[in-house]
Amino acid sequence: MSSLELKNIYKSFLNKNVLADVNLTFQPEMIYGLFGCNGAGKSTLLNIIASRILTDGGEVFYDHQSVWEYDDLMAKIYLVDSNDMYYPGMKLSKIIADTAGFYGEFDQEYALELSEKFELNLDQKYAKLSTGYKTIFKLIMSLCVPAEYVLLDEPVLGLDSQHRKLFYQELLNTYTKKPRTFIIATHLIDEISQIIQRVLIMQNGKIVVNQEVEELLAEAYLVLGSEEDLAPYIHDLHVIGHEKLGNLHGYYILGELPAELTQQTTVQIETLSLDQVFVHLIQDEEGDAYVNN
Amino acid sequence: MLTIKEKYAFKVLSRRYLKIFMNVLIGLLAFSIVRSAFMLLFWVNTDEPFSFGGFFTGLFIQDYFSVLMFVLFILTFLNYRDFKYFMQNSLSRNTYWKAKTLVILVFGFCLEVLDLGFTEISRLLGITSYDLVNVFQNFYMTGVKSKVLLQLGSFGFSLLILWGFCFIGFTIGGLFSMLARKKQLVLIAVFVIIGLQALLLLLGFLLDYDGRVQDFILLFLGYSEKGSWDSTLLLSFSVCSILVNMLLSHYFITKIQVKRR
Repeated sequence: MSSLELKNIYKSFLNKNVLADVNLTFQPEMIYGLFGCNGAGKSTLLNIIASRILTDGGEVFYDHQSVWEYDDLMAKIYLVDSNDMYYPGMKLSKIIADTAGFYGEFDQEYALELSEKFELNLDQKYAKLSTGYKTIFKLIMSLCVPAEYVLLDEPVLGLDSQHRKLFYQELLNTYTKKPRTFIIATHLIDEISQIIQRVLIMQNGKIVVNQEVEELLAEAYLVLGSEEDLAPYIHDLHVIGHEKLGNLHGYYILGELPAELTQQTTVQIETLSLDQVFVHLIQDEEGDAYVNN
Repeated sequence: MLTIKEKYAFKVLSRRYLKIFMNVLIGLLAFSIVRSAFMLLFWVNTDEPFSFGGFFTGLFIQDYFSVLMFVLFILTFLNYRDFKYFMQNSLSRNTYWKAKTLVILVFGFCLEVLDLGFTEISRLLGITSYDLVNVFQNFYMTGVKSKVLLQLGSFGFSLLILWGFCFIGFTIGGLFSMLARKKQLVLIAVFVIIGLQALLLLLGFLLDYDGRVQDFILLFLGYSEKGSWDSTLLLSFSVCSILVNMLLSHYFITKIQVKRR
């Protein structure tokens, strides 16, 4: 398996820059979380990787070869999103058979197993499925195709908590048996924080964070204390957020804390969740200063 | 030649089109039967009783294959849904274009062959007695003596015309598939307005004096100045039209996106 490279990707819609000079490398056999506010460019990025939309500049490369209009390389990438890409009147079993035909290999056994677990009848026509079951069917397909890069754009929209949990379990199962890269774009950060290995955060069409989850969270803190106790240290730290309750100040910090601060008995230090890091980083005007490739 | 993916793409598209053709045929037959049953209820001609034999032979002179050719022509306009299905299965736009081009060529050929066979069988069985002639036979027969060559020439000519129209449809369909719904409606409105204006201008020009309409038609159909039907204008125009539209359709299809502009 080779890496997937995005070089100098530009895209604009109606004179608005959606992606601005995005350069990114996806490694094989890794689970990525792709986060960003609405309109940050996540879906556009995934659609460009999957060759569904044209770029205004830049290209996507697999093993140093351009993916564009190259069937064999396009087959290494599989995107699932909210678009209805199947014929409405087609039976699910027929769609599976066609996908197996197009790809040459497709895990039909696993597809049957998953359809039973999710209680999905494959003799139904695609148009007759509810929104939730359309999503489930697409997710089943994504776990069974032999693609090396599986892109999931808001994969669990419309799913109840039981089905979401089942999907995450099956994703980890299949990743363990047959490692490949998953890139999951979602707003449900806390739900997938346990399964992703690397986090990408987008803001204003750019990648502002590209880091291993453990590394990022290892240096993400909430420091609580009085203004007098914290004032000597704050100016030298990368503060991404601030809250105040009476005399109690809370600073959201990214980066290593000085030993003097950690030894203060009047100061409380807590670790942050990925969701908290994301929320405050996005609000931080200097978020792009934290780009870490 | 074709890759495995391209062959499978052709197979999937062919299967879809065959299903549509079958539904249309069944619909035509059902309509014929229902219409005849309806006529039977209201049969008032006492000199000639209603004949089921006549009804069944009447089915043989229906122009089914012309209808299917028209359906194929309409299908060439429709690309977006097929494109999305192919894109979901990670097939390139080029592969889709190749598959659809092959479907147009193969299906067009098969429909013409079936139409010819059906007509000849009807004639041999005595169900129909009139000769189906097309423009080629009418205007080029003075230069062709052999009946076999004449028939082959007519067949080839019909095929070129069918392919020509289908690739025009593919080009227009490809262009429309690139555009969002609003832009499609604007383009249709522009075409209609400009088309109507052009038609009015042409009619005005042609109706200026009696001979002009005839001159125009003769010129377009290939009547040369020597006073015989040996100009290849229509045939050349058909071939050029097919080639140009293949190039244009390829260009438009490679620009289609899942999110249309």
